[in-house]
Amino acid sequence: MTDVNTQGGFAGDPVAALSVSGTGGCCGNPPQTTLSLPEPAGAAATCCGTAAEAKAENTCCGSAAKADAVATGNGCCG
Amino acid sequence: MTAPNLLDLDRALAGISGERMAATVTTLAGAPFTGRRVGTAGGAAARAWLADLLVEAGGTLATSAFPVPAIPDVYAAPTVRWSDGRTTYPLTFGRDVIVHLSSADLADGRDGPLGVAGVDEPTGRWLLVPAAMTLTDAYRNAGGALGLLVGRAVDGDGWHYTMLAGPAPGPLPVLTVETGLHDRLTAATGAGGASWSANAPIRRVDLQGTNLHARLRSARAGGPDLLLTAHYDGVGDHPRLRQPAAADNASGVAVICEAARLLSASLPEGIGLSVALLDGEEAGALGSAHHADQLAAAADQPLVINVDGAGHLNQTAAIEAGGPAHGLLALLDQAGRHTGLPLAAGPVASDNRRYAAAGLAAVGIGAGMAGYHSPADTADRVDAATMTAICRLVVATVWLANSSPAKLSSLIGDKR
Repeated sequence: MTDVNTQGGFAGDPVAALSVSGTGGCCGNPPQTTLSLPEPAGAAATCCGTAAEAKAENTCCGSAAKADAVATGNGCCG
Repeated sequence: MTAPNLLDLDRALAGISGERMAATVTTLAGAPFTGRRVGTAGGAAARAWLADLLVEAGGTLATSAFPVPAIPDVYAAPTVRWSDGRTTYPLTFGRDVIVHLSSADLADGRDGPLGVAGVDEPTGRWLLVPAAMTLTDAYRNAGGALGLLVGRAVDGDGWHYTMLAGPAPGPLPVLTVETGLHDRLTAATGAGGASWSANAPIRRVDLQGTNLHARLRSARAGGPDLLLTAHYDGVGDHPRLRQPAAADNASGVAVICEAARLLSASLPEGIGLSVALLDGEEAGALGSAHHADQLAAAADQPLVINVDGAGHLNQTAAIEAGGPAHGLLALLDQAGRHTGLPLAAGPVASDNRRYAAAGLAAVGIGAGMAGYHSPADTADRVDAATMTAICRLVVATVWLANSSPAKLSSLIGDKR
């Protein structure tokens, strides 16, 4: 073995990746094909903001939250 | 199950070339491929080029087509201008204004006074939709209107972003207007005498998508079988507006092709490996839905690793998992430790969700990107070091699949 770097990998429990917030958003997916998990009403998703923000913009994701998420490298909305 | 030879893994990792991946991104983002929208000649040309790449990597190639209905197509750059009653201002397509996904087709321009939906008499006017009003409510206040103007923020580069998946067209032309301009239009309308002239050339077209598949290694009986995926389609160019789709997702394709090239030559016997370069993700992840159905019909259950957006890493790579992915997550964690790449649970709204919904263990990997779905998603903004880091993660994950995840910590020697 040539490199062992304890900075890598998950800082917490990897299983958290099975229940990330924002999975109910629909970036890239239209509502009728979104593979959504239920989210509490009013909860802000990392990727898409709140449902109210999205509704106000007539889109499926709040653009401000999405722009922030993309800019900060949260890997969403691809 | 055998212990992985980590010296061999490290030799394989050392062979990863950021330069080669950057060249792949530059090619895929080039003008001949026209942004790679599903069903276009540019998409077909990109697919042909990628097919050659997979064959060169040692893959046995197959393709699979699927229908893609009602894709929005802006078939001409809209001509838009407004007047405050004294001066006429031409507006820039892509920056000031774009055609909203909900728009009805309007080939020829309409001129008329501006008004505010819910405030002014709608007949014969272009109506500004207030920020707090939904489009559905705006329609209720728009009888006889020429069309609707919806405000939306542009990105950090000043571009509107393009979506292909979204609501069905409504009864009126609808244009999306940059929010600052929307505010100025509202103020000018209040002052009186403001007018708007625009067309909204958008149609819906039924197209066909095509996935590319390549089998590189067959799994031994009962052995691990991995499927590496990335979508090669983009939202596509608009007339007079190039949208290269470099980070989203030429970068992911470059990572997967590089990983396939390396693993084909170096992967220990017994680990199954195939690649799917998917079409139609931007249209609602239709390519992966099609492929997931095919896998289910064949009772194939590979471990799926999807990469979407390897443009610019910001400290951690985002990981979203679905299906029975505990073992795959353990592999990914160990691969992250071995390669030194920090991982964090985060949304990756991409093809991985289709495979997970089909009951497969699936993870999506995403890093940051610039210029999401806009002309600013250019090859020069894709970071080769980011692609290298993600490719190292993918290669190590596949390699480590030959081990029992429970034993990997001691195998790697990590003390955490």
